Amino acid sequence: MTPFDQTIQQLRAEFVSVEAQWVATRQIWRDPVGDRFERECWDLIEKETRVFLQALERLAVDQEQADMHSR
Amino acid sequence: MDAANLGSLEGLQDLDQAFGRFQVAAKACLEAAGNRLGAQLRQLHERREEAQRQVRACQRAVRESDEETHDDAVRSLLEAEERLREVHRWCRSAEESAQSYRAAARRFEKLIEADLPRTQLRLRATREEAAAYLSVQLDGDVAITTGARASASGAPAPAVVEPVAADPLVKFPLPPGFRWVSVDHITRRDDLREDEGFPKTSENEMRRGFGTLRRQVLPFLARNPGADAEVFRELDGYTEDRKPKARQKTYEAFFGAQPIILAGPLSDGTFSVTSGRHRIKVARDMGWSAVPARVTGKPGGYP
Repeated sequence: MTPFDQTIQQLRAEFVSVEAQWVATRQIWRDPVGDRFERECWDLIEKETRVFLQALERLAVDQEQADMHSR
Repeated sequence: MDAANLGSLEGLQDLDQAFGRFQVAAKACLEAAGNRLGAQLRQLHERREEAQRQVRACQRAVRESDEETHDDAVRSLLEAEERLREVHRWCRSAEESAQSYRAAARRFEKLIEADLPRTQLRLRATREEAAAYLSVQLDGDVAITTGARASASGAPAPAVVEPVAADPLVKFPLPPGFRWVSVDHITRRDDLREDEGFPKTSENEMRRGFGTLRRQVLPFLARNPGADAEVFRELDGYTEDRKPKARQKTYEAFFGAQPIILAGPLSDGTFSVTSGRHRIKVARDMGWSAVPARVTGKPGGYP
C-alpha cells in the first residue's frame, strides 16, 4: 500500500469513527437543536465527504488507467 | 438537549474530538491527493513530450531515408504518430478527470476549513448550554487560569484583577485590552442618581445580559480564546429559537465598541467611570464582585 493509499484509508477510518460517534450522540440528542444540527451540519459533512471519497476513488482509477495506457 | 446528563455531555465532547481527528486526516488526504495528482499529470506530460520527440525523429528519418529504408521509416513514423495520439488522448482524459476531482476537492476543502470549525463551535455551544442547564462544573475541562494567557492575536490577555478578588468569576480570562476590576474599587461618585433611569436598555434586559455573560459568554471565551462577536453571532444563529442574539449582544455590550471604561486609579485607589454607569449599577445590585473593563489613565477633576 502506498503512502497515498494510507492517507485515504486514514480518512475513511476517521469518517467511520465520526459517523459512529454521531449515531451514538444522536440517540441521546433528540431535541429540535439536535434536529437542526443534523440538518444544517451533519448532513452537509456526510454528503460532501462521500462525494469527495467517490471523487478520490474515480481519480485513482482514471489516473491508473492513464498511466497504464500511456506507457 | 433533552434528558441532558453527563453521558450526553461526554458524547458531544467525543463527537467534537472525532471531528477534530477527521479534520486532520482530511487535510492530510487533500494534500497527499494534490501532490499525487500533480506528479502524475507531470509524468503524463513528459510522456507526451517524449512521444512528440519520437515523431519528430521518425519524420527526420523518413526525410533522410533512401529507397531501401523508406518503407521501414514510414512504418516507424506511423507507429510513433499512433503512440502520440494515444498518449495525447490519455493526457486529456487524465486532465478531465483531474478537473472533476478538483471541483469535489474544493468543496471538501471548504467543508474542512469553514463548515467543520463552525460545526465544532455549535457543538461546544450546545455542550455549554447543557452544562449550564445541569449546573455542573466540568472539572479539568474549562481551562480557566489567572496567569497570563496568550490570545488568538498573540497578545497576552491581562489576567490582572484589580484588586485581586476571591470570586471565581474573575478567573475567567478576558479578551485583550480588558481586565477585571473589583466593584469595591470603582468610585461611588459616579453612581447613578435616583432620578436616572435606564433609557437605552432596560434594567431587566441588562440583568439578563449579565446572566448570559456569566453562564455562556465567559465560559465560551475560556474555551475558545479569540472568539469574537462574529463567532457569537454564528452561535446565536444556531439557537435563535431560544434567545435571539443573546450571546452576540452580550459580547458586544461588554467587549464591543462601548464597553465599560474606567479611568484611574485615583489617589484614593478607586477608578472613575468613563462609560458603563448603568452596567456597574446592575453588577452591584446582582452581587457581582468585579466587572470586565477597559482601564485608561487618570481622569481630570478627581483627587
